Amino acid sequence: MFEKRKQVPIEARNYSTYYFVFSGLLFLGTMWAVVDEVATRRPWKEQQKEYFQLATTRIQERIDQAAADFDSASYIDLRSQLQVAQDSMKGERYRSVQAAYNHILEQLVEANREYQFAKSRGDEAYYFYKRSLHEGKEDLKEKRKLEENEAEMTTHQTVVRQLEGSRDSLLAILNEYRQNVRKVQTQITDLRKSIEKWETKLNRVSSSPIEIKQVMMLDYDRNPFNDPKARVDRCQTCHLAWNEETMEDAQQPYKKHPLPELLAKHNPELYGCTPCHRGQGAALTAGMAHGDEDHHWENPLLKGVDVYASCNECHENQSVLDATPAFTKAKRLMIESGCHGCHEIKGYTDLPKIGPELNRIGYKTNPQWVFRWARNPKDYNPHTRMPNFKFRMIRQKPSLRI
Amino acid sequence: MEYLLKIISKPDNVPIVLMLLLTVFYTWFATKKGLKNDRMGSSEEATMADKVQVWPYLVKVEFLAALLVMAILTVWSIGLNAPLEEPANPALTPNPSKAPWYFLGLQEILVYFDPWIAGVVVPTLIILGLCAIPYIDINPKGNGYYTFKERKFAILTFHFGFLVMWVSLIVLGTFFRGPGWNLFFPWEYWDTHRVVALTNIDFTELFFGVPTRLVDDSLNPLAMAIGAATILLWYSLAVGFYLWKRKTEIIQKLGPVRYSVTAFLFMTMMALPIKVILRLALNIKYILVTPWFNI
Repeated sequence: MFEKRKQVPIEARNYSTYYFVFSGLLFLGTMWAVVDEVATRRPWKEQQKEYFQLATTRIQERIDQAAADFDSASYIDLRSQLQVAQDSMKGERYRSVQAAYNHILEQLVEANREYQFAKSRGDEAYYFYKRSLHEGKEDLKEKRKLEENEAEMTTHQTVVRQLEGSRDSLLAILNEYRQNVRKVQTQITDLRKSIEKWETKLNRVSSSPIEIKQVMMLDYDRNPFNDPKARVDRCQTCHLAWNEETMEDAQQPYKKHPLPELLAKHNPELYGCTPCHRGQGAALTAGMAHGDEDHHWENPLLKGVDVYASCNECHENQSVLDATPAFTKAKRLMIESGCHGCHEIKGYTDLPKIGPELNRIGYKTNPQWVFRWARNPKDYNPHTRMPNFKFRMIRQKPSLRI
Repeated sequence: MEYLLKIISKPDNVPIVLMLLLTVFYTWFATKKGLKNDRMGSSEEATMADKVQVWPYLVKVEFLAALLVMAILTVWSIGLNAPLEEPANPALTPNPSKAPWYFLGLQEILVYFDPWIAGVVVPTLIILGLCAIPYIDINPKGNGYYTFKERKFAILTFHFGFLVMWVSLIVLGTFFRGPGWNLFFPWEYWDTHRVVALTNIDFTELFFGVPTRLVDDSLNPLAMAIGAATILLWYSLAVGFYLWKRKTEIIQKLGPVRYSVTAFLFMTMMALPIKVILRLALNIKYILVTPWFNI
């Protein structure tokens, strides 16, 4: 093929096939890049869609449930009560009172204006009178004008008081009618309360955009130079339902958090998830976020009771935490064994130590090793200064894994 | 072999494997064409009467090549993720710490020479030497066609400098240097705790029994003299060659200035692998030790 092609002069060679194939490859590659970027590398989009569907179904169930539980007998009764109350507002008495009330309001505006004008004229007269006194020749004409206006103000004030009195009594009658209507309306709203709550929720779910849910903790972390470093948590992009009561029995990642009482103190919208659970907060696929796939991530997800180990990150100075028996037990074990006598342990640093720091010991070793080491340190390292404490071996059913 | 396969298939090392294949292909291609021309006695290219304009006949082909390369790069970047590792931590550096792959040759030289030689002098000489090529190469042959016979020295020197001194050192640095920058063979596991006996000894001590340092730890002038003489002897080989061949047409044409520049660069380049071989085979640390620099 190439030999034959060589016979053709360069000017006459046809490159259309190459052009077609190469540009086709580039086009396919570009399309693949778009698909990869939009869908393949963003599995959370599908997950959010799936979650919103699930949530819609479940909320709809709650709405149906609430509709079934709805007390329609008292609703009908209340509706008729409301009708009666509203009808009474159309009656002769209500309308005449309303008309009288409006008339008094008009009169009141007028009386108030008269009073204001008289006061204003009096103020002017007062100014000229005071100025004449200041200039040494008392202007009796202005003084008389002032007194006249003050008398007029008193008259108008009396009228205003009277009008206000009748306005208030009329308003009381009107309010009585309105109160009746409002009372029945409130009762109806109360009756529909649970339905409305779920309907609001449904609205919120159905209008939710597909988006990354991110929590930024601006200075939670420190870099190796001890400067504050932001931590980004995007766990809630998939774990949307951490606070959703309909999702208590759902499958992960849509399950509600099992310990809402802990979340009440550690709001995930402020603190994110990784401070307790660890994992790679910025990652957006399950394997990378949990650390199962990313073997270079140094803090993979803590599983089971291990998660309580991270309580110590902030509560290092406490030895008892009500919510976490594992934490309390571990701390008690450590204090009773006197580890802090030799080793530096955050929160127990008053004594000068001869042993190395025990912080993050779980990263370097495992429980079996610590057990073997503590039983007889010189077994493992003949040069160690840590003594053999002659611990007695008692078989005990391990109640908690620490 | 299993370990070598693991290293080769790492996403980091894909460009190095590609470079190897391409280097082999182009070397083979150019050599084949050159040998063919040499056999025929006239170049194939010279017989081509058909000369065409760059625009559009060359640019057309280049555009097609660009399309293909773009397609390959797109698929490559989708298929292989950036090989990220754990977050950087100045208190815990990776072992081995490797330079970008195209600098691994220079990093390899660091094993055999002082940092300022391997990191400053050698790269400077490489750049200056490459800049000097158009001025010291006065052989007009080989322009516009492939040949081997007419440019033997230039082609062999280039192959030595590029293939042996640059590409193979990159391969060595990538595939054979493991934790602690220790030498690992392809069938060996990269053991972080590997211990290598440190038995390096200076040149003068090995061959002449003259220790580099006296008992009071000061430098031995005799060792220094022997070392300096050895290096001078090495460079004087080029002088001897000049005296021996000065009557030949090539040396005459080249002239003493161009000859000395060429000879200096050539001898320096050849000295590098000699030091490498001395180190690897005889555990020689330095040939010349002075208070200011060591070679």
